[in-house]
Amino acid sequence: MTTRRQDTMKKNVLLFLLIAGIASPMLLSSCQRDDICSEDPTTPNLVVGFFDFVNQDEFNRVTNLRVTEVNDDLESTLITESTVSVDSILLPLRTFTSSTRYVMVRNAGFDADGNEQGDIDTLTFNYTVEERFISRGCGVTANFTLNGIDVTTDDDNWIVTTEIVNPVIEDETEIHVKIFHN
Amino acid sequence: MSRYFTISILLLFVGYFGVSQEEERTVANDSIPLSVNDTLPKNEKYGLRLGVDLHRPVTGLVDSDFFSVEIVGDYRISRKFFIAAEAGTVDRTKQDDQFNYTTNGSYLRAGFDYNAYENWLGMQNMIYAGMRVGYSAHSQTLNSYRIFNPDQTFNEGDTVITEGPLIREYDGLSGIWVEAVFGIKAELFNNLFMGFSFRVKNLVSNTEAEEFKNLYIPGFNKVNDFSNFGGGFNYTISYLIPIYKKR
Repeated sequence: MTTRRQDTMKKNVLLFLLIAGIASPMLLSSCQRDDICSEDPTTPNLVVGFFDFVNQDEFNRVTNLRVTEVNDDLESTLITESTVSVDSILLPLRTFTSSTRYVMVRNAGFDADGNEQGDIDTLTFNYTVEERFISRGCGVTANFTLNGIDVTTDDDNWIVTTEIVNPVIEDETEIHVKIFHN
Repeated sequence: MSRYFTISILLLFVGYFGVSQEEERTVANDSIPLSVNDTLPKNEKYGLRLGVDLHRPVTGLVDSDFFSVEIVGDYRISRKFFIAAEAGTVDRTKQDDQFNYTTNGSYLRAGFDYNAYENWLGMQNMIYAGMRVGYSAHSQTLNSYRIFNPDQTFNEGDTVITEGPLIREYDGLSGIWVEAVFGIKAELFNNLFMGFSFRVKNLVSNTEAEEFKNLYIPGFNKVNDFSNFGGGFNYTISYLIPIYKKR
């Protein structure tokens, strides 16, 4: 036998539990913490160092370096241009193809007509892409394995030769490619 | 409503008074001893309580990518202790910031509950704490993803990949965890109970694919990058099948 007060109590508890049951999934789902990608490294850039051809252990800074990427449709994307001389640069690699082509200009400038001047060389990096799942916050990142470098030869190359020092590109802590010039 | 909450809390403290009687024995002067039997009726119901979790189906109504069913049960073994278990199945697809994945599997959690609440005569409500060990068997499918690259020179960040060596089902996965449970069960009508519980979980063991970590484990819920702790909640309606009565 239950009293009238107990019945009212039961109804109130029932109502409360019903509301809690419907409201709680909505409340709890909006409380989700957004995971931030705090992993380091993620998808790395290619690290290129410029060295002296004669003394191959020594850096040889490039003056007025201008680098553009040229895709298969011959569209250019400016990567970097520097008025100070640099001894190394970071180059992004395309993740959905197996090669990326760069035009590297030493002593870059523009003549009166706006044409590019300087020592112009074209480099193509060939590689394989490996995608890996890292974490909930970061998702998937790409690493690269360099297979080779093609330097387009012309009458006047300022790049003498190249060397793949670290073919596995998974971080930016060490130089992957050395470019030798005079 | 607050009046009744106050009364509920007061009941916790008042509950210890006035339920039991002591057995009395009187020895008469004649040679036939008189003993008085304990007149307290057997009022504590013991039996199997079975029910379902309502929180998961309700979430499934709100979120069409989530389907989960959980059955719950407990069995009283003493005045205060119950052995308890939950079992369920999950089919959940989640669109995270960088990727979309589906988890499919089932789980079992088993353990005990301790009722800290002292009921008045004839009542069988519960305010309880307990523990569980949980086990899941599941698979995880990576449906699509974008590549995370802090350098967006080539604007590749919005390209969604839907085919490739990573896009597949990873199965044979499992998880083992322990839980601390805190909850309430109230008897609303004859042997019909409604209740909810909060859980703090700790993932003990994790069998996951090398290429794709366990991000969500059925029964354990979301797995964090930074810790083995997780949480959960259930909200149940259950029915007690009485088997016998004791004091």
